[in-house]
Amino acid sequence: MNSDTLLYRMVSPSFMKDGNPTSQVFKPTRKDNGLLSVYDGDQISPRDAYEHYTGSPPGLGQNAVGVWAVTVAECESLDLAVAPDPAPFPEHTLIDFSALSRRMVRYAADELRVIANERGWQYRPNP
Amino acid sequence: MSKKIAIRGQVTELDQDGMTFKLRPIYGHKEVSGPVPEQCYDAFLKAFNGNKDNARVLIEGVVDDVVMRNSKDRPLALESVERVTILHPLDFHACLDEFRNMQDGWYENDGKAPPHSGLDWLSGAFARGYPGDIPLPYTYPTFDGGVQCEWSIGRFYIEIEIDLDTRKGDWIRFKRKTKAFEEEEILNLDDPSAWDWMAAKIRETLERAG
Repeated sequence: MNSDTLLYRMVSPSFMKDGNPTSQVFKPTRKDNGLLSVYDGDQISPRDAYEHYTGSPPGLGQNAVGVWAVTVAECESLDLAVAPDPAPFPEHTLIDFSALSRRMVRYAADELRVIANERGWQYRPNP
Repeated sequence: MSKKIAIRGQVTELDQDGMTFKLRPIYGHKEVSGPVPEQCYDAFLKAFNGNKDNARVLIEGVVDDVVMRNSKDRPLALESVERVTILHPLDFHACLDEFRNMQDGWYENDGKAPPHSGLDWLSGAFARGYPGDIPLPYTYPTFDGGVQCEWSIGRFYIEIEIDLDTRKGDWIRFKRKTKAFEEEEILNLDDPSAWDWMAAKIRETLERAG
């Protein structure tokens, strides 16, 4: 993984409205303990990441409308550390929001949403 | 005995000969049907033709009280239609209707569904407090069973996270790419002055964004 590595984030259907995603796509939830799960783009394609996330076991069986991406450098520019976390599955990576204040979490989540939106969908099963 | 009813959904069928329609509600009944009054025909046609773009309508009509009581999870036939309104894609009440279909565990086997009583309260508070002359927010459910509204206005981003149990809103406004925060506030959304305050901030943002 290097600064240009793409980190793939799955977009839940409930987090899209009229084609516009919410900043919550990049905001850790209470259960995440400040650590946002993504896929390491050096190890997996966006399509395979989507199929792993949505597929039946060994996939995760979750719902997503597509895949977005930010780079490691874009995360680091917002004081977000990125680290591999291969325990759940080999490509699993974490973006660490835990050192940020609540206001900065909201700021960073919006910034990442804007960046990812400008980059565009990396994979969508039914565009 | 008849009662008035208002239902939001998509027009799925329009019979031009029989002048009848079928509607798929966003939430609630399986299907709604009824007569198409001549003065509403154009609106029905526009809604029907807009189906591929997810066009939604608000139908205000009259239903027999007994039919209504016995119609849960079954098709509902209206006696008459008084008004049809094509809804804005961001219609707030339609968004809340969508959230009524959610179940606990909606996000990665976790995630609380927004409580219907809270959605009822928010729908009423928004109708009373949010002016029609400012932009509608993008509205989403939150992981904790709340509602998040977002506005992108020029370089500014505004977000309010609404807790449906406490009826408080956690507001933030900042200028993108600058880390310049305008304000953070916890608002009591049972207080009409909180809605006035929000509307004033949105208007001010619109002016500053040009």
